[in-house]
Amino acid sequence: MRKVLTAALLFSASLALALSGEEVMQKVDAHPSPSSMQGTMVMQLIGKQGKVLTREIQVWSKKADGEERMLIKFVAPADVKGTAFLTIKKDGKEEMKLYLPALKRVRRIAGSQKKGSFMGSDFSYDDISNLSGMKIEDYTHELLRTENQGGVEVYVVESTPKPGVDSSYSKQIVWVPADTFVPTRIEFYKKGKLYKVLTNREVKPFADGKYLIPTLLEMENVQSGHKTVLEQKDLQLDVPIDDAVFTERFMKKR
Amino acid sequence: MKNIRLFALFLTLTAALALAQPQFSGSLQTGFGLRTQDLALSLDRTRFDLGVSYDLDDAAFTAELRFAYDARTRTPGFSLGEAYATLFLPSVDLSVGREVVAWGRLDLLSPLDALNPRDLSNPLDQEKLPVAMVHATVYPDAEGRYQLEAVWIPLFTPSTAPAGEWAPPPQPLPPGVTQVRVEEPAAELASGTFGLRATASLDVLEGLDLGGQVVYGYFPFPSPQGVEPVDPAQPAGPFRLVLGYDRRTLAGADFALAFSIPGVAEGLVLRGEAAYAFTGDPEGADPNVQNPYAEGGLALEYAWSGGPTTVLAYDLKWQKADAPGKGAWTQTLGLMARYEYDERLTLQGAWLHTISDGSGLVRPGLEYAFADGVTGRLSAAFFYGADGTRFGVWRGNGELRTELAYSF
Repeated sequence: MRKVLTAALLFSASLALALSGEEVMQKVDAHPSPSSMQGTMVMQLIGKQGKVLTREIQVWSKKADGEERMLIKFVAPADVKGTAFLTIKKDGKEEMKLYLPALKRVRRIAGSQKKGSFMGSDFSYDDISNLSGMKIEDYTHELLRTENQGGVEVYVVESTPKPGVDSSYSKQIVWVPADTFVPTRIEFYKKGKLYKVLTNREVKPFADGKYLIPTLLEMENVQSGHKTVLEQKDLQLDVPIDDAVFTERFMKKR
Repeated sequence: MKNIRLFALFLTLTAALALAQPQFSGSLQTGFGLRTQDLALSLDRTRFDLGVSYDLDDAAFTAELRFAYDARTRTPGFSLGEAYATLFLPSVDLSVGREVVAWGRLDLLSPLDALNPRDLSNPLDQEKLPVAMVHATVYPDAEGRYQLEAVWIPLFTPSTAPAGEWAPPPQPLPPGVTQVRVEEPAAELASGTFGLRATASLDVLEGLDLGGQVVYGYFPFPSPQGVEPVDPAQPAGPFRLVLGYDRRTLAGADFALAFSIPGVAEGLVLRGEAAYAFTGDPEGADPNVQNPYAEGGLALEYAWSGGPTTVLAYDLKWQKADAPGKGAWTQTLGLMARYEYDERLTLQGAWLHTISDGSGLVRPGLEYAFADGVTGRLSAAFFYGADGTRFGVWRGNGELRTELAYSF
């Protein structure tokens, strides 16, 4: 009788623990995200032969009044120093502008470039602007399975863009540990084939644990064999950032 | 008293510059070129550019110095590039010094980008020449959606005409004319160039930028102004042809519109420019004054998924002829493509074709990053067209070029 009771309790507990794909992604999305972020990113572009190119960029981002703004400025290498990239997302629209110091001109760039490589890296412009997370309402989420990794239960969720959503990928498979709900691995598929794998190598708590931010990310293009390691350094969260930062005027400033 | 003030100013500037901590940057480039026609050496040069900049909170200073050595002619040369100071006021940026300013929106053929003269001595390398100017940009709104720019260039600087093998064939001088004299505008206030430009960034479709501008300046190249006796004491000749720079007022508008065609293509950008040049001879009645012209262009940019970013451009120019002749129309088609094959290799190409005379230019190239800041470039230029056509005149100047650059 005692065994039956224990089994019943365990069964009901596991039912309570079993989340749907939607619920898992809602928990991922429920993580508080900072209203503003400022810091440095170091990108290492690693070729098939292991040779490395390094890019260093400064990033400012801010969310307010339903608007997301991000400015990226290249610091190194010297031949791209001063290049600046501005995105403003509002009401489902995204404005993208690029400042090239050699041309001394701010150019509105084609939205179709969102899916292209971000300065030669394995991240696309879209990947960079979605680092803080995908827009979960644009996807349907299905729990594929759970895995046990080092004693931690990990949800494996397949996220497929809803009809009409302009996504760079045909589907994403996301690994979400039950203890943090911060994805540790995302597989990106194009036309059903595995295209890229993002691994969050390091997740750090900020603001006394209020935020969990991936600070070391690796994106591998499984088709070409290239990978990009992105390290976020000197991160400052919830700092006041003047709106003037997200303007053409600031883009042109050295 | 004046000396004390100057000394105080000097001390303040020195202290400010010392506190600002200068930043140095630059590049070392070397390049070789072979003419495709006979494999003769067409380019053998080395350049060292050194830049220094001081950045303060509300001001900045930048200067660039270039040392170039042309091994073909064994001529070294120093030149000062941009060198200007900028004051960042609450809603105004004010720059003074030698500067390059880019106006307009088009890359391939931009009728509005006419503030700075150009060095066309080798048309494949055409570079804008920095000139001394006062340049103010006003930002009336906090979001920076509107801008008003004003430029004053007090002294005239001509563009550098194609030289050497690029120079146009010499024109026969009129009978009785034995010399040519080029007269530049006098160095006085009234000879300056003035420009005004207003831009707005609007929330239309996926984003719309609009611009309007007017530049009261000069044609970049001299034109015949008449003849004069070589010796004023001998009015019957021999004569000298006088070339001078005519005034023009270039007014125009431009736009850049981001949009999508649902189900067909997402994220396109259409850019356009239109300009009209007013001159001192609107009717084309005076053969010694340049005539008006109008020029407009459109360019459509699209990034193909997993492929190149392409720009398809079209340019139409109308040039008023001297009376009673009819105006001449020139149509040009352009195509540019850029493809980042991987993190090191970028392929790019440009094609310009003049529909009106059937001549054109094809420029394929590739760029390879050997290491951080070390880039190699391989490029070619092929001209085609009949003798005397726009690009056909350079048919024999096709070039294969290799360049290596280290930036720091």
